[in-house]
Amino acid sequence: MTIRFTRGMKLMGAGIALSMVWFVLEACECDETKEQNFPGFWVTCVGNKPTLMTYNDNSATIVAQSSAGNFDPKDWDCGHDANSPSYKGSQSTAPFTISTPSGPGGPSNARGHQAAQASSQGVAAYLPQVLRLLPFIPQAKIIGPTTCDSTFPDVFRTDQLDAQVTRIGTCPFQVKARISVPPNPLQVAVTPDGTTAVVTSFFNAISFIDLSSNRVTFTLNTDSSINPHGLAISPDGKRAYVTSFNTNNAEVLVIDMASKQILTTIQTIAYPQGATLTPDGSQLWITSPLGNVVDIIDTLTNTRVSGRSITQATDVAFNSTGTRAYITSNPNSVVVVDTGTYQVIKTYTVGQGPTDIAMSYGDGFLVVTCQADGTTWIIDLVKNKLTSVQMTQNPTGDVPSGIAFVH
Amino acid sequence: MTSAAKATGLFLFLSCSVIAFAQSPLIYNRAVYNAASYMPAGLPNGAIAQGSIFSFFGSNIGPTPAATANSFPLGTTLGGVSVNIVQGQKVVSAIPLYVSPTQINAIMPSNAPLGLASVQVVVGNLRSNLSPVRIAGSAFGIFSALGNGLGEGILQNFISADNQPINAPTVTAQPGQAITLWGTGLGPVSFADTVAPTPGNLPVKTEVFVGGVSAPILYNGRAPCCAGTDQIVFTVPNNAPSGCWVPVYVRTGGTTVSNFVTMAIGPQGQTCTTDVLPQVTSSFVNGTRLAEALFTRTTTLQDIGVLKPVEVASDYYVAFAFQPNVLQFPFNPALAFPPGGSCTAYTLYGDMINGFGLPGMPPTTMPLDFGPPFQLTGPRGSKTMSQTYLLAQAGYFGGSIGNGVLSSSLFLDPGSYTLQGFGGADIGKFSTNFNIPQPPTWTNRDQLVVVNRSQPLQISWTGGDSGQRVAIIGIGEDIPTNSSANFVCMAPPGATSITIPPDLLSNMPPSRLNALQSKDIIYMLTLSGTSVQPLAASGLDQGLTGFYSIIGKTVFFQ
Repeated sequence: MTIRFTRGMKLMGAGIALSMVWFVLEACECDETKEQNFPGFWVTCVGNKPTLMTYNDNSATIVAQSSAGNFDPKDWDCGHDANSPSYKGSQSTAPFTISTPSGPGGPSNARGHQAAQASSQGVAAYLPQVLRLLPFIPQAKIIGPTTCDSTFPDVFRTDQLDAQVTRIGTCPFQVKARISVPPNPLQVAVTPDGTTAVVTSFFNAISFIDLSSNRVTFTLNTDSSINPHGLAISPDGKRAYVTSFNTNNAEVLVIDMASKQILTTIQTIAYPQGATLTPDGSQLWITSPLGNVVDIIDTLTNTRVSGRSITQATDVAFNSTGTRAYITSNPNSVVVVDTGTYQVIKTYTVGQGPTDIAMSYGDGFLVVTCQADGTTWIIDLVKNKLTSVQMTQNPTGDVPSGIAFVH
Repeated sequence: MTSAAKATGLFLFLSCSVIAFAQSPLIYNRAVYNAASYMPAGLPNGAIAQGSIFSFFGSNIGPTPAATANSFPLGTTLGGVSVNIVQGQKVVSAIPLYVSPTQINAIMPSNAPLGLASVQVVVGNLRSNLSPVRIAGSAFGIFSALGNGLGEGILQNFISADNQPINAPTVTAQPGQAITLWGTGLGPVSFADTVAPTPGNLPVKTEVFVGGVSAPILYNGRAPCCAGTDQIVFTVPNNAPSGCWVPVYVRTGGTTVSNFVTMAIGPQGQTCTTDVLPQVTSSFVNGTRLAEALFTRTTTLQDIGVLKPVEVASDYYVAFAFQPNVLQFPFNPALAFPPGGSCTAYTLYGDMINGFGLPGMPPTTMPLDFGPPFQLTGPRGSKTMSQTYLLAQAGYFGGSIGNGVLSSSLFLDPGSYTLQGFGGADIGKFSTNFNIPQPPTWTNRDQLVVVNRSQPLQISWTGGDSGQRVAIIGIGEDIPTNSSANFVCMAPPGATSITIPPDLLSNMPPSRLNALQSKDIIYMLTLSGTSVQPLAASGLDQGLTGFYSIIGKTVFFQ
């Protein structure tokens, strides 16, 4: 089940989030010494001491001056050149580049690549940090709103067995409307302008709900071989993408929101389930828990860009800039993909049966629900720490599923 | 090595080659750029012009070793690699100039379709994914010496037909001198893109601005030597400002603004000087030992995308000492301020505020050792600058957030200060006094909400102290496309207002309706005149203190 918040809630929460999170000094408590093979490490001399360096984003940072992983200061000699140490062993076997920072960015980031080239030419730059880190804001506790008003958002929930969508107010927390839709509704999404909700029903239908009246204004009945499941709406609100959870007709329906008709279909992996657009809407990422693949589709041409073999992938979340994808994978993982190169760069271990994942505003936290063991996991991306909460199961035995942030 | 071993090695090599060749080519996401400007596609002028050279990146997109086109006529296949430009049913072939496993440079054909299209690589019989590209009639990029689209441009000072050195801080140009600017993206040509270009002015309206002053154009067209490459020959205006990093940009079609590069203007053949902190410039260019102890108070009004407007203030310090390397093209975006009365601009794929600095900013020269942390004594007592950040003493003194969120712990109040250094291996002891004045007032700050990118933007202020220098810095970020742009305008000495020309705003990404998807802010940065005092210590060639008042305001760029 996927829950979506309305635009009003997003705008309301934005205030706090923006004021608290936007202008925060960079901080990283990552244990970078564990990433011994990262090519951005190099050794130089600081105060005539061999020093292991790396980049934190685009900024050179001291990692260690004492032994750390493969780095042992005894292997290096700063006696001859205060800036360029010599390696006491064979240069070809040196575990780190000597005083030639390759820098961050990687090949997909041409400017980063160029930045590294420029910096390796020895341009000294400490002053710019004053500007680069502006504006500053001190860390402070968030003071949350306490009084309900009309700007609080609504939550939409699909009820599979009752063939309805429930609209729930969040302050006060109460049901506002129950809207009947075709059998087995699975996903609901709201257009960016907040006027329309779209609902997928497994049994061959896609519903359009006018949110001003809470009425279904149009039902798009599909061929019986199409089983609408996953759903995403483009950032401009002009297109909806719906997966058909089917192996014989494994495809994505591209729906024109104005005419509410199917524009075209895109062949994809068997049993496509989740559909998530990158923040700029340029790519659609399709998950297939049964196909063990994530398919990536270019929405300009509706052609396949690439695919990643990921075991029982269920859901995808992106950071706000679309440079990282976080994919829930069974039995118990969140796989991080660099969306520039489409390479897996990291894996987090979470609870059993992760189904849904969402990113907080500011890209600080990921929230993951795990149906199999009833836990919800928080991944702190700044501190690189994971915590979990055992959710209380209600009398009907429900488990956590679906996530929404107040933005 | 025996023959058998050599044969085995050869077999293994061939096997690996076949395997490598058989891997599907993949164009990376958001990896198509103008080859000169590297302007992100997410910015208004981040398109690729018909007839221009573009670069893109990926994996398995070309052969090993790389292949380069060295003679005319050029072909549409190079090293077994071809590049398609696809728009619907229309497919045209780009002209590859350089192909390697991870990067391709090619000419966007003059008959490429305008608008949104896709790039596709064909390696042997393997086709890559389609990667989006925006094609325009004209979108000019100026080549830069650092190869990244900023800093010193590839501009040749014309002295004689056989003496045209590249302009640099030590190879300055004079007003009235002819300059040849190299770039790509003026627009399509009527002849084939595959042959040696026919010299001649292209029909697109072309303007060059030097320090904000329009320069007379002598030629604007293809370079006869090089397909896809443009030359613009102009004369340095007589009223262009002098300096080491005088901004230069090209405007085509009356509205499309290129990347900004710099050129040095001053006495011919001598090293340039700047009108802002010339001692820092001298050290940076000449590689002498420099120390700075800088203090900032940043006060930002955040009133966009928030429930209630809130003012956030913070006091910070940064102190460092280093000896820069002497370079032919020294450039650092934060040191290379434009001359008073002129503006420059930068673009970046990434987060310019919180995530990424501009190329040239990261330190590579190791700091000089000035011993234990400095101590600063002022109206609110003494503080030790004990935090280290990025190889310098840099940290937070205190702050405040309005609306009762965080009570004030600000430290850098106006008054007299004494800074003490205790000496280290490289830098000796010192004690210096300086003043932090009442900051200037940005008089029209609170009225500034929507910035129309097509109109001049005036910023006004009052107060401050004698000798202060004011810079206006605007930053715009389009979060969904991960694209940033900024402008920096330096007010003349003694000014109380400055007007930002629309050209400086044109590459700022328009703000999104969802305020959470943009970060747009304008700062007024003031370097106090009375705060700049010598920091005299053994082991230093130059040293100074300085206080920056930074006043910010969130805005919409429209």
